[in-house]
Order: sequence, then structure tokens, then C-alpha cells
Amino acid sequence: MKARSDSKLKTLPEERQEQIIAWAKTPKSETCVGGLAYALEQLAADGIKVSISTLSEFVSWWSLRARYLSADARAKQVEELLKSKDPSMTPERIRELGQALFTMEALDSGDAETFVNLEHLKLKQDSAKFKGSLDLAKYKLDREKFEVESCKRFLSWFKDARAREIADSGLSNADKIARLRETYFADVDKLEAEGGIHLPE
Amino acid sequence: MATKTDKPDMPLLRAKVREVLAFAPQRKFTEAMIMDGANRMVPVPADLAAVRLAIEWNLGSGYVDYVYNRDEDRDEWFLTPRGKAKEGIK
Repeated sequence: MKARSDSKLKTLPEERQEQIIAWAKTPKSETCVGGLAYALEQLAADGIKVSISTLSEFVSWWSLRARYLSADARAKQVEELLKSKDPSMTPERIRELGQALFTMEALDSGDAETFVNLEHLKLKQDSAKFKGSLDLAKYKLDREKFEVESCKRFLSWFKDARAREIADSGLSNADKIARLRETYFADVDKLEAEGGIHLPE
Repeated sequence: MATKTDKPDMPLLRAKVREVLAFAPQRKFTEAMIMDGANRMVPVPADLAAVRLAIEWNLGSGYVDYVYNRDEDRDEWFLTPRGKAKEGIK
């Protein structure tokens, strides 16, 4: 990565950068001013003159870069793990998972193992959700079939004099239903009595 | 010290947007990650509107692009080849 011309420090070798960070993290003591002031002193002694704001920005840049490098490394580690453990997983899916882990890591949450476990849990939840959605779809379809069937029956019974007679009678609804069932499902009752069909309880 | 009335340095903010993305050029970054990162490197913190302007400027210049993450319902940003070249990434 190119370091900007506004920072002399970003162009220094990695070890020198680490040294500056170590100086900046030095705690204040009786013999040492510590922190950024100490780092400035040490840099000046090495012939590098920078402002405190440049140094401060460098420290932020360095720690941020370290965080992202670490997140990237962890994501790559998990991508390799997934590749070896689950050959059925597509490269695209692996990249997506690596990206998701990178984001999580960059936000300082989670580790590789936790992520893999979470992902497995998510897959299980997804499977359960999928199964749930299938059940729901089946229920909706059954209900729709039942409603259509009921309407069809209503239309056919509406034309039927016997059905209308029962419907217009002074019986209670429960008795009307019982009479309609006796009339129109007599053959089913007969078949059941003969052991031809088994209706659910 | 920066005060609330200070305006963000937009050219600097635009550069910092690319600089954040350059930390992991193969990855994508959320708007929140860009905002957090850029604000750690500028003297005057920028609000979301300013960061969005800076991102959009980079988009218009062909330095960054984005994909929509359907699962998370958010855009995720990355450096384009032109953006990588601008940042000196091979």
C-alpha cells in the first residue's frame, strides 16, 4: 500500500513503525514523559521531525491498519478451513462467509471458531426456517383446496332440493350439519363400516 | 483542537475513504466501517452526510464501487482497480 506524502512515518520500514508505536505506548513515569511526547523526543533524536498531529494520525492509522490486517488474516484462515472441511461449499459461498467474518472481526467481535459455530447454527436455523416455510406453504395449499372444495359443494348442494330442505328446516345448525353429513356421506360411512377406508380420528 | 463548528476537510476525507479501503483491498467495507476508520485519521470528525459525499465522490471518480448485500440489506464498498492503482496497490 502506498503511504501518503503527508506522513513521513508511514514510509518507514515496518520495524521502525513498530518501534514508534512502542514509544507512543510507553507509560509516563518519573524518568519518562511517555506517550506521544516521548515518541516525538525519540524521533527527533533519530533526526525525524514531525508534528504531534502527524504522529497522532500515524498512531491511529497504524492501529487501524493492524486491526484490518488481523481481520483479513482471520477471514482467510476461516476460508481455508471451510475449503478443507466442506468441499461441497462453493467458492462464492466461502468468499461470502469470509467477508462476513472480516466485517465481524473488524468490528471487534468474535473469533474464527465462534464464527464457524455460529455459521453452522445459522445453517441449521435456515434449514428449520425453510422446513417451516414449506409446512406453511403446504398448510396454505391445503386450506385453499379445502375452501375451493367447500364452495364447490355449496354450489352443488344449493341446487339440490334435499340439501335446501335440510338447510331451510327449523333444526339447529348442529342438527342440520348432522343431517347433511348423514345424507351426503352415507356412502363414506358405509365404506368405513365395511373397513374400506379409514378416516383419521 | 477541532470544534463542532469546524467543517471537515473534504479532499482529505475523500483520500481517507480510499485509505481505509486500502487496508484490506480484497475485502468490502460497510459505510460504518469507512466512517469509523476515516474519522480516526482526520483532525475534524465528519458526520455521515460528509462521509457519504466523500464516498460518492470516489464512486464518481471510479476509485470505489459497491455491491448490495441482500442478507444484511446494506451496500458494501471496495476499491476498484483504478482505486487500487491510485493507492499504489499492485
